[in-house]
Amino acid sequence: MNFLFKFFVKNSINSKRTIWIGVMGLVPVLFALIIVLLKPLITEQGVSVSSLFPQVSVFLYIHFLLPLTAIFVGTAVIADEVDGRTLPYLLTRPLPRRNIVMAKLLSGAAVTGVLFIISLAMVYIIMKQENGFSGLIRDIDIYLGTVGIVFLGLVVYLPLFCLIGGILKRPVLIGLFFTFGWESTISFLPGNIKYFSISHYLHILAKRLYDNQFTNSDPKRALLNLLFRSKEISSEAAIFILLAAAGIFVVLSVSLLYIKEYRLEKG
Amino acid sequence: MKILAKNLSKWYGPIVGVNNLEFTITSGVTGFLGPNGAGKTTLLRLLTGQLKPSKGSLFINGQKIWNNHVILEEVGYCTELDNFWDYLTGFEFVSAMLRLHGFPLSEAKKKAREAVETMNMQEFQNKRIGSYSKGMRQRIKMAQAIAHDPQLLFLDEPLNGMDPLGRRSTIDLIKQFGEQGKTVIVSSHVLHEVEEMTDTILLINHGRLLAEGNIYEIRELIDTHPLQVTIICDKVNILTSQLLEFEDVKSVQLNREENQITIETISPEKFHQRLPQLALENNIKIQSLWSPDENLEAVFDYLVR
Repeated sequence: MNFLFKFFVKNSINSKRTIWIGVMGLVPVLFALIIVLLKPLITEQGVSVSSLFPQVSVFLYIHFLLPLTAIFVGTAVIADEVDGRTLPYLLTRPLPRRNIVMAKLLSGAAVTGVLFIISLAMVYIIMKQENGFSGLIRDIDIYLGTVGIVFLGLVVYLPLFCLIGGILKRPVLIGLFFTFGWESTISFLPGNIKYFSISHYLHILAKRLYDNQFTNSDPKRALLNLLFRSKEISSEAAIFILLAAAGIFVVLSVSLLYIKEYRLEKG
Repeated sequence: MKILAKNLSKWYGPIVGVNNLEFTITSGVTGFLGPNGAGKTTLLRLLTGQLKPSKGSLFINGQKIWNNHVILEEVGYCTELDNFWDYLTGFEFVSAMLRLHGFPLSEAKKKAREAVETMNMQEFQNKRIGSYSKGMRQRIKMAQAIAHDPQLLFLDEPLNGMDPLGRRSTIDLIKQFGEQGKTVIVSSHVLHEVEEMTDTILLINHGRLLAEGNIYEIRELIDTHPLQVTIICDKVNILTSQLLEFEDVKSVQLNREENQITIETISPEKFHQRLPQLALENNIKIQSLWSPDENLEAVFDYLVR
């Protein structure tokens, strides 16, 4: 399992997809740079650049980059080996099939997670630099918390999209529909249906993390509340639900490799 | 090791991959012979646990294969697919496959070095597989199949794309494995290749087992059918007219330009006894004579016709 994980990490590093994710990771950095450039206009409104870090994190990472990269990495877990016709080398070794799926998921999470850590760090430094080094250190829990939420999101989204990739045709299209249709709208719908979205639980965690950043009268808090309208459940409960969902998706993804056959043609 | 197939069938929707196969294979080299699309690769994928039988069962040493990764410890497989993780060097590839097989790093490197040497790939082992020629890729694929010294080898078109030297050494290696008591299954659509490796074959076409056993036993199967003999001689007209007088000669095809005749006889033994006498009596100089049925290809052609 250990070697398998390292092997897939090496494969990931050598794939074009990782380069693409790296480039995508620069989008929030660019966005942060634009905000810094617009600093005079922003401060005119009585808002500091550093206080916008939560909004940037939620919109660009949790809502956009996290699910988008998870679609491309998750749906490719087995598809990579099928499209590359390298699956027979894995399936004809004395390896439990669950190890193949698990190692691929873990390597995907590790490589993508590292890219997110770097990207988030750059955004954090750019946006918080106005407070100096001491400010960066003071708010480090915000950075680490955001990394934690994004990583937790990866842990849930990757096996979900791996499962979709194993069951459905055109998994990327379906993944995009799920992410930017279901996930993006359902969180804002009234009633209990939002409990069936992953982003809802990520919102709860984000809200808790960023809540103490603002005073009760802060308009940005009102904005966050608008974003994360939900019946209060504890952070622990949200983490438990996310991990349980991840566990279910992992088990189903692994089971698929025990059931499904792959008929690879020469090409 | 013993392989047993019972009523084995595999279909993909309406397409039949293999159909109701029954066979037993023990140690030594066995050839799976059939044209492209005959079902050889499907059968090898069933044997290596990549596919699940739709019907019937398949055993290696009494154990089912599908979803049984333990049985794969003794299996080496050379796929017919020409695909790799191209960024790896040949040595890294073989070494990685050994690591996946469960060998610790030092042993994997040692065994990879030996396998690379066996396949005569030392010179290219540190180059990326992406830069390899077809023959080199085939050899490195063979190296990963044999590196862990498996008792059971499945080789799907192993000589495909190899240069003459590579082919020769691979054929010798396969024969050597057979002599060592390993069970080696080689699939090919190039009949003379298989003939060079083994006398034991399974003839497959359209997913069905046409014949099984020793090449000579298979040849006996067609002895009740006309045998073709081609002769090149100087007096083709005279020989043709003489041959047509015999009842066992069913047909004669004459090619005057080539001075060649091809006859079909239902009594090959009598024909071969009679011919020298006939040539002597009519002063016919026979330049060459051969029977396409002496070659496995003709047996195959006949059986799949």
